[in-house]
Amino acid sequence: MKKYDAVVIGAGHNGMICAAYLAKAGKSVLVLERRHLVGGATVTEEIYPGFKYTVCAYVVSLFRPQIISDLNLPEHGFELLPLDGTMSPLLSGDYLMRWHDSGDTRRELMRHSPRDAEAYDRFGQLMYHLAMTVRPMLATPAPSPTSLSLRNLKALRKIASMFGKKEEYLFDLAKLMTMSSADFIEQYFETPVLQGTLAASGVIGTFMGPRSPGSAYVMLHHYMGEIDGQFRAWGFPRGGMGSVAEALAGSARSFGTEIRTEAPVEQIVIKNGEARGVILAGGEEIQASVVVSSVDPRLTYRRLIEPENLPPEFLRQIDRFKFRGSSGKVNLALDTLPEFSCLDSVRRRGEPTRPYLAGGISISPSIDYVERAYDDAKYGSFSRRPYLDMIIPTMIDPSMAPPGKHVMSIFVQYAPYELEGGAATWPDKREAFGDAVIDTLSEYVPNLKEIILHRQVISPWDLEQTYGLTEGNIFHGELSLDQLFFLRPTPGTAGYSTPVRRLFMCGSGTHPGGGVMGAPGQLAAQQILKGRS
Amino acid sequence: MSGKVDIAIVGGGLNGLVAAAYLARSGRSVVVLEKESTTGGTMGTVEIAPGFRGPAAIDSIDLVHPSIFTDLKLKEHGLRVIRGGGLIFAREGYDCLYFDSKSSTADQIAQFSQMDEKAFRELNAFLIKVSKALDLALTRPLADLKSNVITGTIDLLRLGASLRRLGKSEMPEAMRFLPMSVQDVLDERFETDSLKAILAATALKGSWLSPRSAGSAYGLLHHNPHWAGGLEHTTTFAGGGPGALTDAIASVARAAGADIRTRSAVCRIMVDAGTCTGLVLDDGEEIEARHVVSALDPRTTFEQLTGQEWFSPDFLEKVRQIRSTGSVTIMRLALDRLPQFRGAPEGSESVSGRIQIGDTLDYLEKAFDAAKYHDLPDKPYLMASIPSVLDHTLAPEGKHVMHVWVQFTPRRLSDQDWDVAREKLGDRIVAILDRHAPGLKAAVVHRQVETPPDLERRFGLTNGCLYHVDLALDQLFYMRPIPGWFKYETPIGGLYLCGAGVHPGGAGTGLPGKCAAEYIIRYS
Repeated sequence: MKKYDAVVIGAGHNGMICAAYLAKAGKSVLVLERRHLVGGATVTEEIYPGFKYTVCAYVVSLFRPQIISDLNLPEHGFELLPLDGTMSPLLSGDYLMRWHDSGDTRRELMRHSPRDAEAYDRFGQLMYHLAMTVRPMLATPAPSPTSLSLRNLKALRKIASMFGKKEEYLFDLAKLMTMSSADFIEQYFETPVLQGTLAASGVIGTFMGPRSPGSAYVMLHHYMGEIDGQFRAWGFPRGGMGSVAEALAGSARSFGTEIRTEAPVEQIVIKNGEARGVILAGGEEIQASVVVSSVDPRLTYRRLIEPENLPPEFLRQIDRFKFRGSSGKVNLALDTLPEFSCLDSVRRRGEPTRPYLAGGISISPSIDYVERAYDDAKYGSFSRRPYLDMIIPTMIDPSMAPPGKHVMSIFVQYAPYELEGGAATWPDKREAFGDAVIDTLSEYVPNLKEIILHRQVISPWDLEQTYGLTEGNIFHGELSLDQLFFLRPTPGTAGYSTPVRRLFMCGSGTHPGGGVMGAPGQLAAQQILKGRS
Repeated sequence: MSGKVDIAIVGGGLNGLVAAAYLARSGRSVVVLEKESTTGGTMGTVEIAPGFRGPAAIDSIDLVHPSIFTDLKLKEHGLRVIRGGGLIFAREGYDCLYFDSKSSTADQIAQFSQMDEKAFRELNAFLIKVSKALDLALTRPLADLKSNVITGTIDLLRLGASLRRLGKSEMPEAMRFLPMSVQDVLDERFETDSLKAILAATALKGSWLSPRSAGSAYGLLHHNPHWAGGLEHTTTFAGGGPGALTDAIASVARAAGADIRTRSAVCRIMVDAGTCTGLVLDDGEEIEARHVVSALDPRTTFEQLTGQEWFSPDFLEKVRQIRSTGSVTIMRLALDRLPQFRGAPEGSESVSGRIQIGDTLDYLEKAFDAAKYHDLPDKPYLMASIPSVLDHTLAPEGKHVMHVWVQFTPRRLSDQDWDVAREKLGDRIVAILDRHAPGLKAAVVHRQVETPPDLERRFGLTNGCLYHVDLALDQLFYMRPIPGWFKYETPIGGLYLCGAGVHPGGAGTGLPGKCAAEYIIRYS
């Protein structure tokens, strides 16, 4: 029987990135994927004939540029198409448009509030500097504040000196780490729709409202992608998110990685506290010197490992690691382009509306709107009027649908995993949830219901059942301050190692977290290569 | 007034008086200026109706740091400390839960949940351990590397050593704990909803945070410090009301030579060439002082008492960004008989301690939901006491005063004026109390309702925020009241802050006043 140097569980982007880096370093690597296709949550699927849905994740913003070049992804078909700007429609018939071009954005903001137009540049600069301060931390394993080992002290010193260089931003950073996105945004802006749209980026994927302290950090986490914009890492991949997965698979294979689909791992084989391989659902056993799990901590430690192999205190820490997915997804096949009533004025001026629809579209008219959506979710129901973050992929890549037709990708918050009545009631409520989304959007797009050819509704329950995301959390665990850096997923295992020797983690449940960033996979591979294997 | 004093203190509340006492005892000449006719501020005793007196805002004295009692020998200056009774937790549709003060809370929890008993003991031990480890940071001026590298480094190393003593598992646990929401902290450990609500209510006291707000777990630590006995702490009162405590402190200050003047409202701090030179009172009187120490909140100090020309635009913006969100309404009742809570043991012992209303975490969350949109909650959560049970000086014989702390009530209402809403809110609270203590409504002979705007007027608190500056993670430690300005100093030479808005923050500990005085004594 062949023994691999490493077997990776899960062919999501982090799993494949880790595998590719290991293979590139000369290791024999096998990736095992439960589903029939690779990609995990970065997939393109043709659910309705002729229309390609970018089913779960829908934009690339945080993807580390270094990974793109290290793994030669462009050679394997990876191409990013730019998304230009974000439109926030309003029921009043007006809209707020933030373009990629700062001059255009400034002119648009002047229309709403000269004060905000002025503050926008200042805000942008501050966020740029804060993101630059934090960014190095995302590119290095999180040092532990308790260990006095030489390696750890060196890492701590590196971070301290890095902060020393950015001293004037330290307090702003501390504020950002602890404030609510609403409080943070209200310091700068007065226009409700600008406040709402900016603050909403602080709640994506987390069970927090814009008024929940801690949400400001999530805002920065998302802002990081725009910083990398200069390296063209912000956009929509040609062919949908699935092409990211295919490029990664292609790259991994080019370095010699084997990838097996429809090969669900049942158990991680552990002997004498050391991982030896995995057993597949059919009973097949695969031996490996190192096992790397890219699935989330709950699945890894609670489903794939017998509890007696783990210390009880560690299991307690894993059990309290918070997932509580809060978002869902609606994908639409559309007969024609949706007509946003807020663009009537643009049409009247005889200008093309297409540029307004070629970027993100956000239903977030005010902070209170998003906060009320959160209030519904707190008590166990999906938002009656949810926050929506959308793109129309066919505006960027027409090949996603038949000529003249469109697909629309709608990220929805809030859809709490734990409904009143339990998560298992989701299948009964899925379509009602879809209706709430369509009803909300119809207020802004009067012709919407007539042009829908097909709709796919994905609840957090579906994200768990189909994509293996515990409790439907798209980040493999909430991005809250108590679950970040050296605490992700537990103090002591933030460095990709685990209580089991030769078992490593490389998914979004490890530092620095989720968002199609790829950093966990890359950093885990580096740690593994540094270690014994 | 003739000559120049060393120190002029604006505001004769708890922290102003504590600072005055410490500074006067260090040999400096001190004058305290209080605008009201009595000192004490939010920790004073006020008249509710003829013959009835009660706490101004903060009813108990259990958080006052013990060093203040001993340093100032308050008992020798007439302070009588009264240990209150048990805890009544009134529940909608059920008899109340009652914890007596004779046996430990943990033992009593054991009677309904073994799991919660264990969780309570563990959490309490953890909080006490963390609170002790943080003593150097929570009860003293913060270590400061910039102004003095040597003392700063020593302070920092001492704090680091103290934190390391927490151990390898508890230190990361403490770092994980602080930014969490109190709801997550409690859900991880406890099974009984009532118990979670009891504990969360203490964490949220006076704040603008809900149980689900990240950072609210810090409130558990702040309101249950080790010196008060952690989660096991008993409500304690000052005989004669909290004003008796502040009176005792004032008396210490006077004995050390301080001049404490009431009915002396400061209207302006005089500044010359960036250094303050004294104060101007409402009536035009000028008081020259080498140092001015403001016990008022930072926004009032910087926006109303000093000219804006001394500050950089950046500093002014940071002042404007301070969140001082009024969230509390105080209701004082004069009662002609003692209320009996449903299910509580008969007699006065059961109502002689803390009385809490707010069934579950969701109840507290919903009380905040309404306030978030500037509305009044249908069911606010209440923290009450009847100090007259153990202190007969507060009411005529057989009669009582009840103090009710009401959350969350926003400073600004979306659709109505506070002058209209005030008494409606009062009716609503009395109706809630009456449901839990039938007959209470009929026993009310007089009632005072003080809303955030009332507290703002009466005590000069920005937005009626009792803790001056919201207790939230981004406004604590090195960020309180303004990031980087944690040293009691201000951009104006000789002007210092010593109120609840500075480190380590309000809630009736007296520590901001003590720390500010220590800092001034050390560096000026």
